[in-house]
Amino acid sequence: MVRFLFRKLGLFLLVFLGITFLSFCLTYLSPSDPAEIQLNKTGVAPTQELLEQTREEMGLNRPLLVRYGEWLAGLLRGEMGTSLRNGQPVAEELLEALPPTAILTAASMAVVLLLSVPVGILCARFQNGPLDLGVRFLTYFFASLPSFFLALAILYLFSLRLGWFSVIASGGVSGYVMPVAVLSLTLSAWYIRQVRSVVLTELSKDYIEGARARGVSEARILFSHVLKNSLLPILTLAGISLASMLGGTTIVENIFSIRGLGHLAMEAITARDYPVIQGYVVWMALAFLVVNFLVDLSYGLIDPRIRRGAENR
Amino acid sequence: MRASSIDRKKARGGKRWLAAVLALVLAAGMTACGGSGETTAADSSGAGSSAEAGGEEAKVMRFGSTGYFAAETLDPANGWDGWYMTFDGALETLFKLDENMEPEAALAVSCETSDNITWTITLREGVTFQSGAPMTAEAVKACLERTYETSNRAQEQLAIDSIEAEGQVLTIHLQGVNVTLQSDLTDPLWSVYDTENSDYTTVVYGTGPYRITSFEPFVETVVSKYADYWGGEPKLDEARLITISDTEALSMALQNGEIDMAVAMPTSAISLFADNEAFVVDAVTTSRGNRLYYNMQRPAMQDPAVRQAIAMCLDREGIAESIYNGMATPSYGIFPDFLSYGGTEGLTLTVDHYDSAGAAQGLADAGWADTNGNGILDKDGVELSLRAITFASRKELSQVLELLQAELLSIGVELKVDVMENTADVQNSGDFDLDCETGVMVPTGNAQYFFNMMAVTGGSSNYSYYSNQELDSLAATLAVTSDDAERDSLIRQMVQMILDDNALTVFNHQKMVNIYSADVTGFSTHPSEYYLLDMNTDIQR
Repeated sequence: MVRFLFRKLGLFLLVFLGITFLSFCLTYLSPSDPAEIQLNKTGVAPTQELLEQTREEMGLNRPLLVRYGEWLAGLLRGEMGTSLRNGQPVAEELLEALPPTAILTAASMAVVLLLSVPVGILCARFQNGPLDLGVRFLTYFFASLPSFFLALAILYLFSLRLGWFSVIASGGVSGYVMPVAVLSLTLSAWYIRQVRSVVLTELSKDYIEGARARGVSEARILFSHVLKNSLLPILTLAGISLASMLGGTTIVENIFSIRGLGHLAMEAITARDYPVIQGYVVWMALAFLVVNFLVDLSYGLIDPRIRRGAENR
Repeated sequence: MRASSIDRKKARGGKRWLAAVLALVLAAGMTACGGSGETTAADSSGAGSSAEAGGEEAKVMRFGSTGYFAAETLDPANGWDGWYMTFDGALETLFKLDENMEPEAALAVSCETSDNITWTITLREGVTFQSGAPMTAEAVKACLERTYETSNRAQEQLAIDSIEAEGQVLTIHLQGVNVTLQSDLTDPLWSVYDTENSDYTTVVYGTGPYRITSFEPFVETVVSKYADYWGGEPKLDEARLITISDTEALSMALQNGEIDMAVAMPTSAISLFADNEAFVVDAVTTSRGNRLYYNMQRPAMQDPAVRQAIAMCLDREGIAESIYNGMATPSYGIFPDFLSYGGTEGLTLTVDHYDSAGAAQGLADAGWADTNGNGILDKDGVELSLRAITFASRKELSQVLELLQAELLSIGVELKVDVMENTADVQNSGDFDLDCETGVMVPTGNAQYFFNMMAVTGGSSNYSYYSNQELDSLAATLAVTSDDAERDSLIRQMVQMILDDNALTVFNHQKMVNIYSADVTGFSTHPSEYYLLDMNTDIQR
């Protein structure tokens, strides 16, 4: 187990360094001049002298590896430079945008799992029955709807027609209900189909027949044996969704005026705010690596065969 | 049809019950997550929610916009933040623009000069900053000096040598002749604020009718009535200026009364409110010019016939009507009619109507022909295959290019359209033939701004890379000409040169569109885009 952890950690660091170096190179190679962007925000074209002076002050004339090394050292101290757009520390910008995104992600994933696991299992159990057919229609419908359209439709219905929620997201819980509903409905459509498919495969296995022959109740078969054996693919899927959503849900954040990470990333890209883009890449890399790491760890906990395999290696 | 379906749904309690359960589940989930970390303002449950003042219900008005409340700091000298805070009614300038974009007295009462180098400005008596401190010449001097030291743009705009202050008299010594100082000082960059008591991160004190009491960049700015405002008592107790990024969400917020006014409403949403008595669509033509640059560094664009043909293929009336929903005024000149030097009267127009057949003929006359039979015209080995760029946030611009693409293809010109988030890199690299842009052309009413930025050789926004020595010389003359009639004449000469050369095409002047509840009174949209909330803006509750 310790060897497994060390191996994962080593890989983790290697991938992290690779991603950050690559993104740093892309920034370095981009035709935009950060000094010029910094000066242009005042609304005038800077003189060549001022540009040179600003480049020197910003350390842009130093070699790539030196700059990357310094940036990495800063990262270890929790510093990611300052935004070209507003001069704020990048770490502060990311931290400010993180809570709304984290709330959206956590709440949406909770709803998705609570909704799609039982519904997916029931659809598989009653395959081709009215419930399965009805849910299949709904999942096709929601999976094919673009999230911006669904967001606007929900906004129209619940804000404009029914007046249950305000269009302008308040800071409280009610401000998250509609965005969470949009994200959950879209994701659940995929998850229900995935769970149904995994459970159907599981239900066709011999041990199910054996359990039924032994008189084990159907509910116990479904929610104890089948669910347990179906957890790995569901967990993998959830890991990918979780990491991806932690990077922000730009369209939903934009429509519901939530200033999360997706919104921040979009603004940074539009303004060519490279330090913020770089910070965002770091966050995304961390989110994916940590979530994947945790998912890998949980495999061993859920399935002893995987744990034993890892130990034997 | 949709409405009736919704009515049926309303009638069925079951649907409501389901939605309520969903809401409860979500709410419970969120509570479990620790709730929100936001520190924002009040529950926005409708227009009626408001603060209490002195035991009576306070009068609060809410403004929404997708991008016009974009101050990043509370420092008027930072970037364009002074503009946004002037918009909020917090800051004022020594002079302000009237409806014809002419400067008029505001915090100043008079302005005198004998040589256009030393200017004596007498300030209004009895004006106080929102901190309570009096607005003296000494305070204004400190403010202008700070702005000048802090902002590159300030140094670019005015070459100040020194400033003297005595009582209410301010004397500005410039480094050279400047005939447009009053116009220049209408720029909100030169707004007057209290340098003694402002810290620019949590508080800034201006002289306007409203004081900024809460500021969350790109989310919400709250301003409260400044009761001692020199112009009289502002009508509102509080105003909230809320950023709503999505146009549809902005429309819905206005429809259900969460906001009272949508500021600079994108044209796509206007039809929803046009024939609705509950709303006022207030549209005024501004000097915002939607324009097409021709990159004259590219071989094809160096041919005047090609530029002329493209200009002829722009269906200005159709674009204004169908793409801008009537919220733009078609243009065949450069400046809008309401400016003393604007319009097309007296000019010889090289293009005065949409004429794609004429464009095709012009190209043929200039020797362009499809010699290899691929459907695209060519000449001397150069194919008329062009690259046009524009940016994504103003979707009308990309629609204009798509329309132009079809028009040009019908006469044998291929146009590839690239829509990007930010065009600056491509503009600087010069890797484009056409650039479709938008921008205010005379923000302070002074046409010099347009020529210096967009037309003179090496101008910072001269993306046509246009160079005309005669125009450069006239621009230099304009800078030292103070007589209004002479200035107008010079401007018209320069406009004629740009039209003759088809150096760029301003295909329309966009209207500033504010849509507001019929309950709003004392408000009118200003053509300058500098002003929004003032002491007269009111709402009947």
